[in-house]
Amino acid sequence: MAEFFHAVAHHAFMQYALMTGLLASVACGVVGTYVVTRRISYIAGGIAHSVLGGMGLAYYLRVVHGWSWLKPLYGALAAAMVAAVVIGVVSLRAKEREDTVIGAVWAIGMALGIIFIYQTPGYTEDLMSYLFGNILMVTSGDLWLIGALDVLVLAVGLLFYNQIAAVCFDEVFARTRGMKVDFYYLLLLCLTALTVVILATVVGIVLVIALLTLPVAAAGMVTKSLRKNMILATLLTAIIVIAGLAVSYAPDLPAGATTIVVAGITYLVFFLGSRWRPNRRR
Amino acid sequence: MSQVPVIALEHVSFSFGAAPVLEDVTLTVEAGDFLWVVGPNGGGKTTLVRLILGLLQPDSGRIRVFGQRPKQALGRIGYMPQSAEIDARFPVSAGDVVLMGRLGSGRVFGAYSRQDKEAAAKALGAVGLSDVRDRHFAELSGGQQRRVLIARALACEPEILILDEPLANLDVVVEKEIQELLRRLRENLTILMVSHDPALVSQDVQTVVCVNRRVAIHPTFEVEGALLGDLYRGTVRVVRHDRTADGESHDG
Repeated sequence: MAEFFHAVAHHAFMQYALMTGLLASVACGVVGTYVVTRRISYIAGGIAHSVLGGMGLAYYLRVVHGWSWLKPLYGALAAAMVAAVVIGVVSLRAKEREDTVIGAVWAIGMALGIIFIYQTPGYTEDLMSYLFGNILMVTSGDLWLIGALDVLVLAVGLLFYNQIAAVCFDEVFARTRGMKVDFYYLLLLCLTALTVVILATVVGIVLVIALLTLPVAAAGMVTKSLRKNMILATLLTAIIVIAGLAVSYAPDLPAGATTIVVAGITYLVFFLGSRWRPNRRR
Repeated sequence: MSQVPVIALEHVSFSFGAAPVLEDVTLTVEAGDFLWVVGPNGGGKTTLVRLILGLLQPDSGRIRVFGQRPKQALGRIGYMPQSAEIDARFPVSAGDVVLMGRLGSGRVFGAYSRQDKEAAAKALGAVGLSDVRDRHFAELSGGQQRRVLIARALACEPEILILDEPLANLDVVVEKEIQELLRRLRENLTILMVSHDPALVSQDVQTVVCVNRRVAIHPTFEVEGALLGDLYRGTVRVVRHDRTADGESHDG
């Protein structure tokens, strides 16, 4: 643990990693709460995995065609937004085919990403870091982008709080009030896409879904309103990410995977705690 | 000035794909009516409600609410959905559920105004639940949850209240409470209420609408004899099942 604190004090990469984790936890707490209560974590999973397609394409263009300005993170953003809109439109227009389309976007996105990465000369280790995270590789440029995305997600997520909450709680009623339910649903999916990209820098695209849902679900066992759920989930995510970094640093474990294990343990503790509390009302 | 009916359906038909759900439905609701819409499951009751709410479009026929298209009249309707459609474990307080009734097409984003909060508090008071405002929706009893959903509909400050199965799966005491609440509300509102249980209609209901693909309308009248009244400990009305216009009888 001492080594971790030493690294935080002396190494910029560790400070960037911590900052990334803290920024990510805010978006995660707010948007994750919507995702869990609206029960669209499968959609979030589809968006997360399709991100590899965009990352792979950006990586390919960067190395093979010399588009050095094109960071994989930009590719990830584009792919996530496209996946969100495709899944959103299909689930609004043809509800019965929703799961098929999510599965297709999920797998085809990954397949494209793998093809692009294998067509790119160089280290294929990069594939591993996209899949399972490379928070220690975050640069100050990435950090600015993540910060900007975070502000955007937070601003939109809170500005539309009452509307998104009403649509998540009871879509049919919201329609009877003349609310633009489809608009808010697509907005929520776009927020989910942005959040997924932010979280992918922390734990990688395969593990995103756990970080997006486990702290929220843990918080949900002790909170009784969306607002409190968001705040507690944000705090939990921040603690989980810091703990993941701290635990993984000295033994040189993969930070992303360690973070997810910590998230899992946190969820389990909250689950058991809420079960064992005597005289619990249901 | 001729009185525009609150709800008017003229020869409305609706089908899901090839399966007809409603055929040639004509129905007029006047201001102050209390309608009880009954019929078997899958008979088209909820579809009828969703047509009136503009959530579904009829294949043929015309629907008018206050003389307007349903979507234009939404602001004047308060709706309570079947509670099975609500995720009762959703992290939200009773008061926040009622506030959701204040949202509408006018405001795309932003917070609730003081006026919204006052209207929500008044609606919660009208259903007698001011004291549970800050409680978790999931912690409320089944009957309280129904009343919160009715309060949310009232928060819209509607002229018509449309309730889908407000009495389903409640015990007799709670059912009575809700009926009592509706009796009070009907003084100022037109009420249209859906129920799968056609057996007995409360004494307040004026018109029974039987929906099973086709629609038959029956007036209710009070039972003179003591027999039924004794049986159900109170005044009851029975439905005279007339034959439908085309002469075929239907199962009630």
